[in-house]
Amino acid sequence: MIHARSLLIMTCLLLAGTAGAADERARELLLRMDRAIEALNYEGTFVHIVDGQVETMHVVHRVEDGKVTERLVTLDGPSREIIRDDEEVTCIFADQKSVMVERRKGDSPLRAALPQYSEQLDGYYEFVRLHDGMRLGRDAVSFEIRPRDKFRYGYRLWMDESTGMLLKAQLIDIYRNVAEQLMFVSIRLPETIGADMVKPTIATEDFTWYVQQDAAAAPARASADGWRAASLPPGFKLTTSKVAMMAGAEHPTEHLVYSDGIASVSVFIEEPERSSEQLQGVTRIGAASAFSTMVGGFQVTAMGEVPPITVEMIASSVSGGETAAR
Amino acid sequence: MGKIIEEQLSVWLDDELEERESDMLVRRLTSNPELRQTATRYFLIGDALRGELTTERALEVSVRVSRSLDGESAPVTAAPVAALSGWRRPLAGAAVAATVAVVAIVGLRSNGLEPSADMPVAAETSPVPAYTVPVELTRRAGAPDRLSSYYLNHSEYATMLGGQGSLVRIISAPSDQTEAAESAADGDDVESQENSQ
Repeated sequence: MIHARSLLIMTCLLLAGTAGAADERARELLLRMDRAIEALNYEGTFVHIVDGQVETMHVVHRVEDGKVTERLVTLDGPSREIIRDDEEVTCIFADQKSVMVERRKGDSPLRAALPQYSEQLDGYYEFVRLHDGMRLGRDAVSFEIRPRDKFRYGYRLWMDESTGMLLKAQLIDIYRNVAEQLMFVSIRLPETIGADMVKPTIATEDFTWYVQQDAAAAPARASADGWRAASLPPGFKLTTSKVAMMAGAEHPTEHLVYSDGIASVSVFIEEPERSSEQLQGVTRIGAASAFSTMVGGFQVTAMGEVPPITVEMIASSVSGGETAAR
Repeated sequence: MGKIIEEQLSVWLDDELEERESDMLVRRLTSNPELRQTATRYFLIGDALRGELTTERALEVSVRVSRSLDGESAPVTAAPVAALSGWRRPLAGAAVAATVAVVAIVGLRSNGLEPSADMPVAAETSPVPAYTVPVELTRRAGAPDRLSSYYLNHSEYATMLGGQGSLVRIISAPSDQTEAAESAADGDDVESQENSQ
C-alpha cells in the first residue's frame, strides 16, 4: 500500500519535472508548423469533418519568390473552388454561379496575424506533448494546446517531423469534445509546384461577381470614430483596425481584430443598409461563432474561432462612434 | 457496399490505412455518396464511443438527415443566397425531432458502455447554450450575405487552425436552403432588394 503510494508520488514528481521542457518543445513545434503551412510547397487531399459531415478537399499551395498562391477545391459535394494569393481571395461557387472576391493588403506573404509565441501565452494556454507516431508513412509529432479558461478553444495537432507540415488538426471545444477536424489523407511536398496547378479550373463566364472594393478606396471616415470593445477575455489585444467596403455594401465597414496570439476575433461595425439587413444574436459556421447586435444605430458583429460566449461578450461591449452616429 | 471497403473505411478512420490504399478510398468516397454516408455514420459512432459526441451535434445531424429524407427544396430565386451562407443559428433554440439512428448512437454511449474517465456522461457534455436569441437574417437576394463577407475578411486575420480552417469552412458551407427559404418567405422585402440592385 505504502509502496504504491510512494510510487505514485514519485511518478507525479517525475512528470512535474519534465513538464517545463515538454511545454517549451511543444511551443517550438507550434511555431515551426505555423511557418511551414505558409512557406512550404505542398499538394494534398484532406478530409474536413464537422457536425458529422465528411467532406473531401484538395489543396495546392505554391510558394514562388516568397509569394504564396493557394488553390482549394471540393472533391465531393457542390463544385466550389477558392484561389488565394497575396492580393485577393476568390471564391467560386459553381453550384450557384457566383464568385466572391475579397481584396487583401498584400503587405506580407505570411498571414498578417502570425501568432506571437510569447511567454505570456502560457497564462492562457497549456502546451502538452502527445504520443508521436507514424502518419501517412511519415514520422509525426503531436501536441495539444489546451486553453486555461472557457473563452477559447483548444487544438490537437499532428505535424510531419522532418518538414513541420500539418498532417492533422482537431479543434477541441470547451467540453473537451472534438468540434472540427482536418486530416490529410495524402500529401506531397515537392520542391516546386507549377503555376498552372493553382489556376482556377471552374469556368466562370456567366457567373455573377461580387467584388469587395480595394481597402484603399474605402473612405477612412469610420476609422476615426474610435470604436472599441471594452470587455475582452484575458490576453486578447487589438492587433488590427481598418476600414473595408464589403461587396455590395452602401457604407464602409470598420474592421477590428483582437487576438490572444492563438485565436482571433474580428469585430465589424457598420451602418445598417437601407434595405434593413439586420443581424441579431448567435450564428455559427463549423467551429466559428458570430454574435450580432445593434449599438447606437450601428450593426456590430463579433466573429471568430472561439466559443459563442466570447463573441457575445466582445460584441456586447463595443462602444464608440458617437460622432458618426449623429 | 462490399465488406472489404467497409473494413478499409474503418481502418482509415482510425488513421491506420496505407497511403496508397487511402488514396484509393478517397477516390471511392468522392464518387460514391453512399460510401460517404457510411463514413459519416462511422465518424458519429466513433465519436459517440469516445464520448466526443455532443447532444447539440447529434441533434444537428439528425435535423440534416430528416431534412434530406423530407426532400426539402428551396425556391430557385433564393438559391444564390443559400450557397454563400453556411451561417446558421444554434439548433438548441430550434424545434428538433431526433431520428432513431442518432438516438440509438447517443443511447449506445449512455446505456451500453462502461463509463470511463474520458467518457463524461451526456448531461455534462451537453452544451445547452443560454444564447438562444432568434436571428433575423434577411438578405439582398443574389448577393453574398453579410456574415459570409465578414468571415472572408476575418479569414485573413485568423491564426492557427482558424486560419487554415476558415477557407475550408467557407468552401464546405452547406447550402442553407431553409434559411434562404425563410428570407424568401419574408416576402416583398427580398423582391424589392432584387430590383434595387
